[in-house]
Amino acid sequence: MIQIRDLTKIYRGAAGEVVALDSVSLRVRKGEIYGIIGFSGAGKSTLIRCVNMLERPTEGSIIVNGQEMTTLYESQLRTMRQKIGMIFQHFNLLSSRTVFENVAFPLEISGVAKAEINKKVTNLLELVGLADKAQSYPSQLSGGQKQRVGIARALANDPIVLLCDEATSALDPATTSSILELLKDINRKLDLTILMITHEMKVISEICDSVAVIEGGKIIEEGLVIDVFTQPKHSTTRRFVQTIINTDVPDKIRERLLEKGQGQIIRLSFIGDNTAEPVVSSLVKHFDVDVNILYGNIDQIQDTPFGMLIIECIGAKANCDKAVAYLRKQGLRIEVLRSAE
Amino acid sequence: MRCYEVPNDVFTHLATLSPELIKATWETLYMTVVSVLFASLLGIPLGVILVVTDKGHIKESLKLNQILGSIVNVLRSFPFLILMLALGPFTRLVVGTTIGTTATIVPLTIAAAPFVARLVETSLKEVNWGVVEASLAMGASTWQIIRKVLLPEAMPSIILGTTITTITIIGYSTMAGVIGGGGLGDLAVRYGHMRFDYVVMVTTVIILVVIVQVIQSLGNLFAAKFNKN
Repeated sequence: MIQIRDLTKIYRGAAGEVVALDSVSLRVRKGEIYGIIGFSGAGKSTLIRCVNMLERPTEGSIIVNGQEMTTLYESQLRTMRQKIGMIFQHFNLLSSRTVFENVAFPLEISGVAKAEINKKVTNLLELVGLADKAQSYPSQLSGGQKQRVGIARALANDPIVLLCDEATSALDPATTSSILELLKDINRKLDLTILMITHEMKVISEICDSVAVIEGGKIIEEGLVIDVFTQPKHSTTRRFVQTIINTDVPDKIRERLLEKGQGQIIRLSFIGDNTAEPVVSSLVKHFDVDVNILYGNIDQIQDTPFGMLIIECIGAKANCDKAVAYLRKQGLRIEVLRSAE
Repeated sequence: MRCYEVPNDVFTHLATLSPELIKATWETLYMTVVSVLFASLLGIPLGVILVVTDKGHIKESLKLNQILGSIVNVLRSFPFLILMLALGPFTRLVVGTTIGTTATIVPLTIAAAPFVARLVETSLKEVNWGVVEASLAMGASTWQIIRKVLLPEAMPSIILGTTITTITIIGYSTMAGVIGGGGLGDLAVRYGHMRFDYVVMVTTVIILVVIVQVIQSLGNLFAAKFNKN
């Protein structure tokens, strides 16, 4: 649905050139929620603004729904933008208009008839749960309600893509969750492709299907959320992942573990259904080893449980090795932290 | 120099002069209202152009911006009295005469238009850029953004600016006496200053104070009505 190829954006200022985006490529499939995460200054804001040409790319190509964006004339671009909804961190509602009029605004722009506008706006306010606030002004609303208006407004022209620019960053955690739920709901109901940027891993873990990590204007890691979460490759990704789940054993605990005992210490990581298998008791039954559970945690991303367990395998070295081989066959990710003596 | 010791005298004097006072008040109001109207017609579009052609705005055109900015600055540098006299030939061209109340409207408008433009410019620049960006993202055209976003969002501020303009024009209009323009300022100068008629001078000042108060209050009222924050 969105295809970005070799996108580069260079700002030329008095202080010289600043490379905001450096040859970024990514693909967002139809109907998915794609998250781009990065620290501030990583270039994510520039990236999302390039999709609807609020920022002109210096180089590269952006294709939305089969349409190359970079070569559009102004009037073609306006028509195309009507089909790309966008919501913002600070909502950007018109303070002089009521909630109803704010949602009607994009419809006025695209020249929809009055009766049709009334019908659509009413439905949209129903969808975002603000039917009773139609005649209120934005200043009378809470942050979460303002973002709901923003969402209704972004959906008014039946967009093919929704861009979310830090849509929940100005909201408290409870409101963030309710807005994310609404976005997920819309994504499912309307089969709407969503591209969002954020600096909060929580947002990614709650609703995104795919994620890209951006740093210094480059995509440093990309993939399905579950994969990136369970096997982060880049240190920045690991930092993000650790903001919500602890996949690493704290150093102190690791030291203590390695001091004690003399068995083989193994770290198992598991994703999804494996968590239901009684692998540990199988080890004991079939390989003539004792198993001591040293450390563990389990978490869930969307509907997929995943976790990590550190066990000590006590027994003959041959038996321990066989046990490890067995574990590998179960589709678990195995890391031997200390071999048996 | 006359003395007024009995209040009765004051009232009698005022009663005699009341037709002049009423006429002068109307002249002041006429000059002010018409000038503000024309100054806004010129100044608001000028202010809008100054904003949208500025760097990074929706219709960036730095050359045009600089040219218009310079014109505005030059016009605003003129002392009103000088402008009024210098514009004589132009005034004759527009209204057929260089004296009288109507003739005063021409220099008043020319003096106030750049003032309005700068005030409108300031008001529009206060509009949150995020809202403009959101409108661009929705596919709004330049004209739609001006008409549906910039002007409505800045309306309370523009109304207060217009109030300031109106009061400033009342001030300028008092100089109209020089070209026989009439109005309260002229009356105050002719009777109060030249004939030492302090009753007239004080009365005209009181009327001006009342007019200014009423205009400011109306401006505040309207601005508050439009302000939805």
